[in-house]
Amino acid sequence: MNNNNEYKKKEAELIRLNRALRMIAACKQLVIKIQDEKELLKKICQIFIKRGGYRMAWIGYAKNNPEKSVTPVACAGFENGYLKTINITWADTERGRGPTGTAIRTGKTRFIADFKAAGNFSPWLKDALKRGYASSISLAIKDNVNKKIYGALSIYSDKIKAFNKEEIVLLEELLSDVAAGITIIRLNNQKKKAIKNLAISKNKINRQKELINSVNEILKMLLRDGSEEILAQKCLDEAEKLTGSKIGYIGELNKDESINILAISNSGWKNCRMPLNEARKAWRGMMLRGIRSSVIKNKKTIIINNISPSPEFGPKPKGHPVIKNMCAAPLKDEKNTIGAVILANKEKGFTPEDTEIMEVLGAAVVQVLKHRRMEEYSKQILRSNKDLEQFANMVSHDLRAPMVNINNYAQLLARRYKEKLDAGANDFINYITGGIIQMSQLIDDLLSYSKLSTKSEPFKTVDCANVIEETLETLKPAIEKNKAVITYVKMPKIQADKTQMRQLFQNLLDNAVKFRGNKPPKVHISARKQKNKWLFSVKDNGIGIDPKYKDYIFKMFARLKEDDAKKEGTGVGLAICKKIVERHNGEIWIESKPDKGSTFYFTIPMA
Amino acid sequence: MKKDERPIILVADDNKEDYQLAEEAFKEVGILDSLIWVKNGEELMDYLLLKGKYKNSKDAPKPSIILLDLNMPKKDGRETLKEIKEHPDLCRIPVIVFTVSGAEEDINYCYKAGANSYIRKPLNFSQLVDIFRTTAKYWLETVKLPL
Repeated sequence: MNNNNEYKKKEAELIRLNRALRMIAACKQLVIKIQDEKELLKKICQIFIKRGGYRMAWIGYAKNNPEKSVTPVACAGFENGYLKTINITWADTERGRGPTGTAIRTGKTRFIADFKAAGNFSPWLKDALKRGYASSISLAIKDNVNKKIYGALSIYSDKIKAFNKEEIVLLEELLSDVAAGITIIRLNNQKKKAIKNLAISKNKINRQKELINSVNEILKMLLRDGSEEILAQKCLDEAEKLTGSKIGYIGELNKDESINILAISNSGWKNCRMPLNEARKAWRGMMLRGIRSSVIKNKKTIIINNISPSPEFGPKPKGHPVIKNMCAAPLKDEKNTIGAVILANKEKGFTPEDTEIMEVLGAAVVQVLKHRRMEEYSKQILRSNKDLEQFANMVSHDLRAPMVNINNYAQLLARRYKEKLDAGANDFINYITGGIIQMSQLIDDLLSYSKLSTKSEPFKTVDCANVIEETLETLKPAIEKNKAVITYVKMPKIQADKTQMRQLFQNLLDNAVKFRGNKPPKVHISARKQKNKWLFSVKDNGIGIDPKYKDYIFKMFARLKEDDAKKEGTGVGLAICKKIVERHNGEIWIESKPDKGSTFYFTIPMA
Repeated sequence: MKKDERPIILVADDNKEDYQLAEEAFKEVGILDSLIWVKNGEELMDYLLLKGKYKNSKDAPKPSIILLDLNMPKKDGRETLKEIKEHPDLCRIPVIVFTVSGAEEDINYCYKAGANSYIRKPLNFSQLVDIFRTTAKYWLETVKLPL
C-alpha cells in the first residue's frame, strides 16, 4: 500500500516535471522565434497558464526612477484587476519585501508555499485570496552575461506548495534565456533604429545637396546677367523640380496690396490656351485673397493637402488643371513679406521637407531680385551722375561766356571813358564788374560742388602734412596780406581722395583767415587718434559765430551777413567741406562763440 | 616793318563781341591791323587751304599764329585743331586755344591734339591786355617761327 502510494506520488511528480519541461521547451522556442519584446513576454505568460495550468502569470519591469516602481508589462490568466491593486516597488520597504520586489532586488527566486502562512505577504493577502491565489513563485529576469536585471516573472497557483525544487531550477534557467533574448531583441532594435536613422540622414543630406545645387544654379544665372524675369522663372523651376509639384507661380506684393506674377510654371501652364506671356500680363495686380493672402499676412508657410473645388480658389482660364493640394511660402525681406511662392498638385501631397525647400528657394528669390535691382539702380545713378556732370559743365561754360564779355566791356568802358563819365557812372560800372566776379566765383564753386560726386577718385594713402603745405602755398597771397600765422603739429597719413582733402583744408583755412578779427589771424591745425578714426581740428582766433548757426553754416548758399557778400563769398565753401567729409564717412562740426574764435572739427575713419 | 612783313594773327571766333574785344586788347598792346577774323572752323580751313572765298591768295596771307575758340558753329575748334595739326603743311602754324572753358577734358584734349598753348579767356580786361602782350612778345618776337 505504502509502495503504491509512493509510486503514485512519484508518478505525479514525473508528470509535473514532464509538463514543466514541455512548458519550458515551448518558451525557449518563443525566445528564438519572437522579435517583439512585449509579444514575447505576453506569450510566455500565456504558456504558463495554458500548459502549466497555473491561475495567473505576470511580468513586471523594474524602473530606475526614485520610487523604484515595478511596472507590469505582460500578464495572462485570471488577473481580474489584481495588478492595479498591488502597488509594489523593488526598494527595501514594506511594499518591496513581497516576493516580486525581493526577487528583483536580490536577483534570487522567491517561493511562497502558502500565502496564508507567509509573513511578508500581508499587504497583498486579501486581494490574492479573493482571486483564488494560494501560492506563488517570483523569478528575476536576469541577464547573467550583462549582469542586468530587467524585472521579474511571478506565477500564482490555486494550490499550496505548487512548485518543487527541480521545477525551480528549470524555471531559473528559462528566465536566464528570456533575459538574454530581451537583450538581443533590444540590441537588434537599436541596430534597426540606427540603420533607419542613417537612411534618414542620408536622405536629408541628399535633399540638402539638391537644394544647394539649385541655389547654385540660380546664383550662376545671376552672374550670367539673367533678367529679373528669367531669375524668378529659374527659382520657380528649381522649386518645382525639387518638390515634384506640377504647377505654381511666384507673386510679388505691390504697394496697393495687389500681386504681380513674377514667374508662372512652364509645365503646369502648357495646357492653358492663354499664352504664357499674356498670362504674365493678365496677372498684374491680382487681388490679394485666398491662400496668397493668408501666407502673406501670416508670414508662415502653409500646406493644404485636401482641397475640394471651391469658389474661394477663383475662376481659372480654360485648360488650367484642377488644384488638388497646395504649399505656399512667404517671400521675406529683412522685415516685410514682399510676396509668395505658391506650388500646387504634388502627387501624394506636400510634406514638411517641401516647406524647407520652398523657404530656402524663397529666400534665394528675394536676395537674387534685390541684387539685380540694386545693380539696375546703381547703373541708373551712374547714368544720371554723368548727365549731371555734362549739365554742370555746359552751364558753367555757357554762363561764363557772356559774363566774360560783360565784364571786359564794362572795364574797357571805364578804361577808355573814365574821364568823360561822372562819378556815379563809374560807380555803376564797378557794381557791374563786382557782380560779375561774384557770379563767376559762384559758378566755379557750384561746379566743384557737383564734381564731388561725379569726379571722385578712389581713396589712396594721403599725407596730410603734404596736403596742408600745398594748401598754404595756394593761400600764400591771402596769408601774407592778412599777416596770418598758420601752424600745424604732426599730421597722419590717411586713406582719402587727395584732391578733395586739399579742397577741404583750403576752404577751412581760407575761412579762418577771411573771417579774422582785429588781431592778425592765428590758426592751428591738429589731429589725434580717437578709437578707429582721426579727429582733426582747425582752430582760429577770428570773429566766431553764434552757436545757434552751427548747423546752418554747412548748408548750401549759407551766409551770415547780407551786406558783406564779397567778403563772405558764395556760401558754398562749407557745404563742399561737409560733402567731402561725408564722402569719407566722417563727420564735421564747429564749436564757436562770437569774438572768441572758431574751431572746426572733422573725423576721417582709419583704414 | 614792310606791309607784307606785318605779322598776321588769325582769330577764329563765332562771336563778334569776342573778336572785337580781342581787337581792343591788341590795340592797347600796340598791335594794329594785324588781326584777321574768321567766324568758324570751316572758314578757318578755307582760309588756310585757299579755298572758297579765300581762293585768291592775296586775300589770305599766311598767319603767324592762330587764336582758336573751341565752341563754334559748323566746325568747332576741337575738330579744326585736329585737322590743322594732322595736315602736313598747316601743322607747323602755332595754334593758341583761346576759350572760356576751363574744363580738364578740353585742356587735355587740346594739348593732345597738338595745341601750342591753351589760354582761358579772363574776366578782367586788364588781364586780357596782359595776356595778349605776353602772347605777342613770345610768339611774334621771341620764338623763331617756320617760314
